[in-house]
Amino acid sequence: MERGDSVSRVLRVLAVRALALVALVPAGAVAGAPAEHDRVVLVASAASPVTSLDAIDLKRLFFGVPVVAGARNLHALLNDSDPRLELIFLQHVVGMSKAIYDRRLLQLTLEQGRSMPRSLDSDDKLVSALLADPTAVSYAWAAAVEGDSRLRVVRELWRE
Amino acid sequence: MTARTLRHSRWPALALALLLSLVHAVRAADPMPGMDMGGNSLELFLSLQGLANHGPKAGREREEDAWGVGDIVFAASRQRLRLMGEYNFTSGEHDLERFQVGFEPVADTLLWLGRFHQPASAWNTECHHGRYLQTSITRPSIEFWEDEEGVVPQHLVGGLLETRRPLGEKGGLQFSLGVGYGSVLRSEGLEPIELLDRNDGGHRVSTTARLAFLPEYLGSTSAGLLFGHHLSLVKDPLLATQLGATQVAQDMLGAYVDWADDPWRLMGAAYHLETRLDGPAGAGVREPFWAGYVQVERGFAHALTLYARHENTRDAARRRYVTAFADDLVLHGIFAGLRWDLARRQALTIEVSRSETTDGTLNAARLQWSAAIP
Repeated sequence: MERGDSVSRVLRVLAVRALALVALVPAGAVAGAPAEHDRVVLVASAASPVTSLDAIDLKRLFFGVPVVAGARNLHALLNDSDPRLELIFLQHVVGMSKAIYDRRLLQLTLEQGRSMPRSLDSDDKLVSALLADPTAVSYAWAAAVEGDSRLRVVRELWRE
Repeated sequence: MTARTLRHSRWPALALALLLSLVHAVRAADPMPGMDMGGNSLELFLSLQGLANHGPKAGREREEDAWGVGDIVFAASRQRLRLMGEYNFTSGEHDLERFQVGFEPVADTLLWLGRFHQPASAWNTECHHGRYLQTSITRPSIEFWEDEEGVVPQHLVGGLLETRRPLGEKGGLQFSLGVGYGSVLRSEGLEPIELLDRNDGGHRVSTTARLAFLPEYLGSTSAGLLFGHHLSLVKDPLLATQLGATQVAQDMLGAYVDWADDPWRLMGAAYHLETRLDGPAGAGVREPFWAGYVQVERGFAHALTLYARHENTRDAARRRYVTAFADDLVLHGIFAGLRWDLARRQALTIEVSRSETTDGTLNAARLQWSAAIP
C-alpha cells in the first residue's frame, strides 16, 4: 500500500508540472520543435526549372540519380538543420533508416559512381545554396521557406 | 584482382598519381556546383585485420587474409558522361580493379565500356572490393576473385548495360548485361585482362546478365536471376594435359536474394554451374555442380549486428576443373560474427569460422576494423 501511495503521489506531481508547462509555454516555442500542424516541403530556387516531381523521381534525386527538368540535371541537398526534419525525410522520402540510407549511398557510389548529396547544417546555408544554384532541390519546414519570394515550394512532403 | 606483389612493381605509385590527377582535373573543371565534390566522388575504403587460423595453408595470405586492405573508388560525371574506377591495394598486392567510361542516355540507364565486375555475381556487385559495406569480414568462396582461386571469371573487359525501371507505384526492375573478354586459365587459376600489366592474350568472350525485382525502387532489397556463359582458354600445357582440355566452357544459372526487413537481413545465392572441358577433338566432359550460401543478419541495440553464414559447394569436390587449381574453395563452411558500427562509417567486427576445403579443415578467428572515408 505504501508503495502504491508513493507512485500515485509522484504521478500527480508530474501531471501538475506537465499541465503548468503546457499552460506557460506556447506551442513551437521550445527550441527545435516545430509548431503544431507544421509541414515539410520540397523547395528550390524561384529560378529553378522544376515545377513538380513524382515519388520515384524524388527518390532518384536523393540517391544521386539524375533527374532532368527543363533539360537540366537536378541535384539534391540534404537539410541537416534539425534532427526531427531529418527523421521525417528518412521516413517519408527515402523510406529507410539513416544508417541504411548512408550505406545505400555508398553502394551506389561503388556501383555506378553516383555522387552523394551535400549536407547543410542550417536553414541559412541551405537557402544560400539553393539561391546560388537553380538546379538544387532540398526540403525544409514550410514555416522556414514559405513567404520567401526567392524560393519555390515544389510540393508538400509531409503534414503533421 | 591480380597476384602481383608490391615489391616487383613501381606501378602502384604511378597509377595512383595518375588516377588522382585525373580526378583532380575533372573536379577543377566540373560545372555542377551543388554536388559533393562538384559532381565527382572520391571514396576510400580501409580495413585492418588480425587473423588466427589453424589448418592446411594456414600461413598463406589471400586477400581475405591480408592485414590491410585499401580501396579507392573515384567517379566523375559531366552531363551524361561518367568515368569511374576502383583501385585496390592490400598488404601484399594491388590492382586497378575497375575502370569504366559510361554514358547515361536516360536516368538510371548506363552504358559502360571498360573493365568491370560481371553482374551475375550476387555478392560482388553489391560490395565490390569495399569491405566496410559487407557485414561479414569474409566473402563466400564461390564469389572469390580470380587470384583467390575463384572458379568463376569476375572481371570482364568490354561493354556493360545497367538499367533500372519503375514497376508499379513503388517497385522496380533491374537488368544488367555484361559482354566482354573474360579470363584464361593457368595452373594458378583464372587470369583476367590486366589494365596495368602486360597480357599474353587468348582471352575469350564472356556473357553475363542479371534480372532483379526491387520491391522498393532504389531500396536495398532485391531478388533475381543470374546468368553467365564463359569461355576460358587453358594456357598451361601441363594443366591442359591434366584436364584433358584446351578450353573450358562454363555455363552458370543462379538465383539470389538480399532481403532486408529491419532488424533482419537475409542474403543468399544458389548457382548451378556446368563446366565443359573441350579438347582438340571437340566438346568433352561435362562437370555440373551446385554452389550456394545463405547469410542471416540480425541488428540489435547499440549498432550491433549478429550474423551467421553457411556455405555449401560439396558438389564440386570431385570436379576436375575445381580440383585442378581451386584448393581454397570452401566445400562446406560455417561463419559467425558480431559487427559493431562504433561510429559513422566505422565498424569493428569479430568472426569465427570452420571451413572444409579440398585440402582439409581450416579454423579461423578474425578481428577487423573497417571504414569508409569520408
